[in-house]
Amino acid sequence: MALGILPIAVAIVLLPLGMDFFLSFPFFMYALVMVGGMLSVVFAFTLKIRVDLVPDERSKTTSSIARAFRLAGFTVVEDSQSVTVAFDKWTAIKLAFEEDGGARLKYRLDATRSTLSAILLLFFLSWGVFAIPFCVFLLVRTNGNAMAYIPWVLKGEFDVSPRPGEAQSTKDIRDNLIDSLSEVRRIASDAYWSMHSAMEDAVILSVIVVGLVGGLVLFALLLQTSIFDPYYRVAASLLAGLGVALISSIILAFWLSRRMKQKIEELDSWVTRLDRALLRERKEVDQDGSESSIELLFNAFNEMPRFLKARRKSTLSRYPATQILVLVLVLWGSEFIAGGLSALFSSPLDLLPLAVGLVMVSAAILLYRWSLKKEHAEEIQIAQEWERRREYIRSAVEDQLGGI
Amino acid sequence: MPVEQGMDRPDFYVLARILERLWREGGPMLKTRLQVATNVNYDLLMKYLAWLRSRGFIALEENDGHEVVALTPEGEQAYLKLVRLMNEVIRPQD
Repeated sequence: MALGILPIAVAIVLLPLGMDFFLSFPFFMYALVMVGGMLSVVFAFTLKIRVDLVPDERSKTTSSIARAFRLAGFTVVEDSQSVTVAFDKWTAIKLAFEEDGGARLKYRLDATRSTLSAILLLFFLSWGVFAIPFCVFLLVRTNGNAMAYIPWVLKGEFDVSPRPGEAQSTKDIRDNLIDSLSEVRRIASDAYWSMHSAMEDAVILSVIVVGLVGGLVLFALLLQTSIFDPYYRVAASLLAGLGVALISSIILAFWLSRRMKQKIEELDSWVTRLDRALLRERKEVDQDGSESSIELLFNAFNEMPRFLKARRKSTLSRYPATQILVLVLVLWGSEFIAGGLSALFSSPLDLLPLAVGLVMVSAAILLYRWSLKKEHAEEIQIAQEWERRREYIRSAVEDQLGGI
Repeated sequence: MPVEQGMDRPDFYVLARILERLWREGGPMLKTRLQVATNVNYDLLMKYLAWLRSRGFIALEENDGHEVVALTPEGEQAYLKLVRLMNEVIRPQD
């Protein structure tokens, strides 16, 4: 599901309805639901839930938990007291041991960029009341993910235990290979899902845009008809409008999906190759002629800027504050322009909302262009950083192997 | 003329592939099997083996009348350094 466009869809589709609904309420009711929404956010993000551990798991430390989640392919941020694990773009948890009649592992919700953007957007647009169902959704989804993943990861399936008679250097090699492969696999997989989600978002947005254009065509055609026209003329206008919308949507959606499909398939193939290599390192399933893990890592290393770029591309919440501001400026600016246009010829004062609207929309465009430029500059920086690392590895390898 | 002189600059990928395959085998390996496992042309493999041997990373031994290739402790250390280096450069990205 294309969840990336949810905040925008919420704003565009529900905003006008919501405004009418809330304006009909007295102020204290409005304030009450906003406070209720804020309290639900505070409750959802401070509620601590205990994780039941089996005896073998009680000796684990936050660092070993972080490693287990990393090896299982999750994005992990670790500090001295806690481990933050992101399950998907909406759900993340912060795990920590706490003294509660003995050391207990507990987790609470942690905000991802997407959840933070959605919550900020809801409050910014005076839609705080919807934070309540949104927090319920987050709690249920996070709890579901936590219950599914925590026991699976802590079971130790991803731990690399020494094999009988295995030398320490051999185990070190396996540990390092598994660590590197897991990290690259996680980034490639994130890139794959980001690209997938970006494709769905692009297709849905294009269908919406073309649908609106089709609606305008339909409107224009209907203006040419009157109730005195024969019914077939009206029907023909309707069919023409809907036909334009439908055919354009299909063509655009098909073109967009084809354009992105190749990149998605390439990323999928990378994930599969890395999965195969990981399985081999963990289970020692080996066959002559199978792809070398170190060579695969070197090849993947060259692809990293592309993986990271794909991973960053789809995040609608890349610059949450800027995006929310752009959205609000466009929405309010459009309202002002529409209001100004509808009363354009009533009095000269009515030019004021039109001017304000135009300024707001222009500011939104400039802000959006600025964020695109910033993103481009960051991509260049990433590419340079990886080129630097490539050079580093090349010279280090020459040193290690005695002057290649 | 040593065989390795036929090679201007060894391909690092091929070297890593050979070292990895020998490490994974955990013991001496027939040259022909190594060739199949690494998917390297036989003549080229000979050049790489000579290069690796000159640096003490591998040893050639006789086994039942066949010449086999084994990774030396230095070779294993070199491979360990490579994977450590790779790990150090790849992680963490967040």
